[in-house]
Amino acid sequence: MGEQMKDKPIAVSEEELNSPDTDHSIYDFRDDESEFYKIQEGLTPEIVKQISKEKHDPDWMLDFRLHALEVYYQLEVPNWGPPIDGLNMDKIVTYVRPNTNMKTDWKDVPENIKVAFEKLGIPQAEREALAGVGAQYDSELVYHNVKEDVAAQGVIYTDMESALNSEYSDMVREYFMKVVPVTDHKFAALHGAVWSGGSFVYVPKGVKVDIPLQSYFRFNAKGAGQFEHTLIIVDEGADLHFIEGCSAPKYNVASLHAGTVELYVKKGARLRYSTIENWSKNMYNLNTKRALVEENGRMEWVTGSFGSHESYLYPSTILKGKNSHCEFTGVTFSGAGQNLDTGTKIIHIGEGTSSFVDSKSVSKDGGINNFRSVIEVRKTAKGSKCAVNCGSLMLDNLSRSDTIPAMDIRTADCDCGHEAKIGRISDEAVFYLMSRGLSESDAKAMIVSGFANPVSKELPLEYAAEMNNLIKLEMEGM
Amino acid sequence: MKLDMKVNHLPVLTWNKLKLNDADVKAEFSGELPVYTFYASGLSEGVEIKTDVTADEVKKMSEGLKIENKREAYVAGKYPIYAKQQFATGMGVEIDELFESNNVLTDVITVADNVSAKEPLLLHFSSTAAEKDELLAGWKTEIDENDEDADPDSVKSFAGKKMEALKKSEKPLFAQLIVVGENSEVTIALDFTSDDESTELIGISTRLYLKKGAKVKFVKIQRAGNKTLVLNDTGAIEEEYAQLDYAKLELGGEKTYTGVYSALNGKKSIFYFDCGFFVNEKRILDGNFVATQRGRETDAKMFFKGVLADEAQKVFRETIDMRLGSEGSLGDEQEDSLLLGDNVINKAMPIILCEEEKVEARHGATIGKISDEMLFYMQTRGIEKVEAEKMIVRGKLNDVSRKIPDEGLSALVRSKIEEGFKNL
Repeated sequence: MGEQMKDKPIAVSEEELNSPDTDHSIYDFRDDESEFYKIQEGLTPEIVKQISKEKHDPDWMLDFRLHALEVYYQLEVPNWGPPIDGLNMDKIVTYVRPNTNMKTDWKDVPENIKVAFEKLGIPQAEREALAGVGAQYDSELVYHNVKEDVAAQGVIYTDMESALNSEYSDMVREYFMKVVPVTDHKFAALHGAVWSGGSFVYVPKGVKVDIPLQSYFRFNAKGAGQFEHTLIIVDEGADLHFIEGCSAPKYNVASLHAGTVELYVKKGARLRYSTIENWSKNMYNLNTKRALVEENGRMEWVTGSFGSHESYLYPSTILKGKNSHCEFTGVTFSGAGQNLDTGTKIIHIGEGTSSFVDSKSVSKDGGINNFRSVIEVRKTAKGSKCAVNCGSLMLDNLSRSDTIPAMDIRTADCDCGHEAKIGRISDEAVFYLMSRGLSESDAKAMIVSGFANPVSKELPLEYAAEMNNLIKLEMEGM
Repeated sequence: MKLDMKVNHLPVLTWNKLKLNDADVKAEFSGELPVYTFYASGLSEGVEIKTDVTADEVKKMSEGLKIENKREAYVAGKYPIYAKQQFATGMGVEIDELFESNNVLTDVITVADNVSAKEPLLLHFSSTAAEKDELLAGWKTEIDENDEDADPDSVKSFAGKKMEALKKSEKPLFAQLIVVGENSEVTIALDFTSDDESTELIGISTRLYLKKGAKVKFVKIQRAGNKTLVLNDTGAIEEEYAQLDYAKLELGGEKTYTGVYSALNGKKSIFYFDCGFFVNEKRILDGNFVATQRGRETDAKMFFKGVLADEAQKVFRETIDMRLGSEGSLGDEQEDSLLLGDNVINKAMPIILCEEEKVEARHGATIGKISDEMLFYMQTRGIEKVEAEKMIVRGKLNDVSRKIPDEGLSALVRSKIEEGFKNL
């Protein structure tokens, strides 16, 4: 694998980067990083040790990182999915630290970084609609805060580095990379070796956090990687909505996002994890997200994927406990130069577990969408139910849309259904809307927004508006 | 004969941990199993059978028929094909290699142009000792009408039809090439059996080429013994306006590997496929089914209905592949699997690949047990659970078996299904 990855050029064409149908100018700004600390590019044990030193890791974490690196060298790049030949780890800078430490007041954040997040609407969102925010810039958090009344309930929302070196360190160690072990796949191992940033959240028993917490990941450095780790534990009977957002400016060299999200939903708890992913089109998004759900627990994924050059993204849920439940609602929009392989995995282990998947995708201008899933019902999952529904819209002949679902059912005592449909926007629907005064482009945008509505209606209003705006941007020029 | 090969390649690779990308076939056989081929006598005019055609002759014939290899180097223009075949089949090139290495000759069935064959062509492949002995009690299965002493009961029949011996093969590997002429209509049924105690293998590779406007009803019934290894492969090409209605039943075999590949190359060509299966005990059924739609306004429907019981295992890979140029086409694949045992393993991959905007493709799968409501309904009508299960199984398989063009053969199929109920 190493050879394969080293010999291929980093390649994202100017044409792909600047496809006329997408205007990402509100996200496409770059800040001067001449004073930032950057580790040397490439991946070696010395680089991993240096990262660990920069982050003041406890000894066990350094050992963990070095073990993960060994696993990384042993594992192969997947032989399925979009080709990642253009990703050359020798040219990726795995750690970039902005010239600030983490602040709890926006006033204290360096001006250029604060302006960046203001352009993205993060401070405003925090004031108006959030219980807490973590803002990450390249490899480190620059801002982290949680509202007093939420903290007073015993909710912990802090950055991972602080958590590792605090009274929660034992809890972090207990859960860190257990539901996503480093042996899971090559990029989980990479993450284990070079991870930095991300948030730790703990919601105590019975606590309902009424307003969402959010993490926002801003990627600024050219030719770099972001490897944040999000660890959330929602204790028995608790309830949390967590939102993550991301964006980056576009460059003509590859960037890499290999973050990991580990979620633990305890007995009777509920967690909703919402994501609006809007990486730039030079990004390889090789993210891993997984939830472990206990008895009567409920896990809800809401996902909008709009960015990246290539994506491997399959939020997964292990329904371990009896009567646990999972819902996955997602939309993926793939345009010129994008090959997005997304989907979900759900494993039914406990009795009476249930899952529902509703996935939508839109392909245009040569974009490639792959919906890839697996529903596994183990022998112990008696009385389980699962339903998968996926719809794909093809907007032209340049694009493609593939649906590659798998089911592995090992008990007769279950009910599983799957359906998928691929088609195009109906000419009659477009004609109808145009006869009411809409342009063809607006008519198609409205239809596509309606198609994606199952996702946007699950989001808070501000995020639904952002998602609809992204759809509109993608549809311009139709 | 040693088998160590991978077959049933998924057109698009997925997670390796799922072990669905292909199927491993590893076994050793003597390969010495005489099999007798019989056909129902009274071939319709315009229908000919030529046995034991060599590979070179088949190749020349294909060139003469202009069976063009339209299979690209890439599946769906994007994924590298595992290995290219001149005439694609569902199980893949390994079956061709097995047959070639065993010098298997091909039986070629041709239907001339503009023929409407009145009688179905029924071919029966038997390695069942008792059955073949009966059928062979005299190669002559007709009586001399002028012989006053002739015993009418000495005329052997199969499935109600008078059967004539076609050939005897020393190895249980069979290849057929069926070429149906322009605007012709024909019904063809192939039926395979083996002894219940036979631990040998049966390999069947069938290729159908439908010329412009041809309409074929094709039935393939596999009733092998429950200890036999079965390799059951099919490939089909449909040219303009051709229609292939294919009904397939997988009822026997300890391990059955089966595949179907249909290339809808011509405009408005049609492929309707119904596959019924009944897998019980510790038997395994592994299949790969692909409909590649290249022509405009083609229509492909693949329906899978069946039952898994006891500790049976089934893997079905079902692919609709809409290529650029298939504008106006429709593709539909539906699976309905009934699970009757707590130790069954059912794996399904209903795949849609699409690079053409103006098409509609869909798939669906329903997997599970008989609903409590249905069982309750039947019990309130005095039907006990086991009998209710049998009724439902019969109903599911009847959707496919009603397409068998011969009542006698249907009766034999029903009998095989009833055998499967022994553990219920």
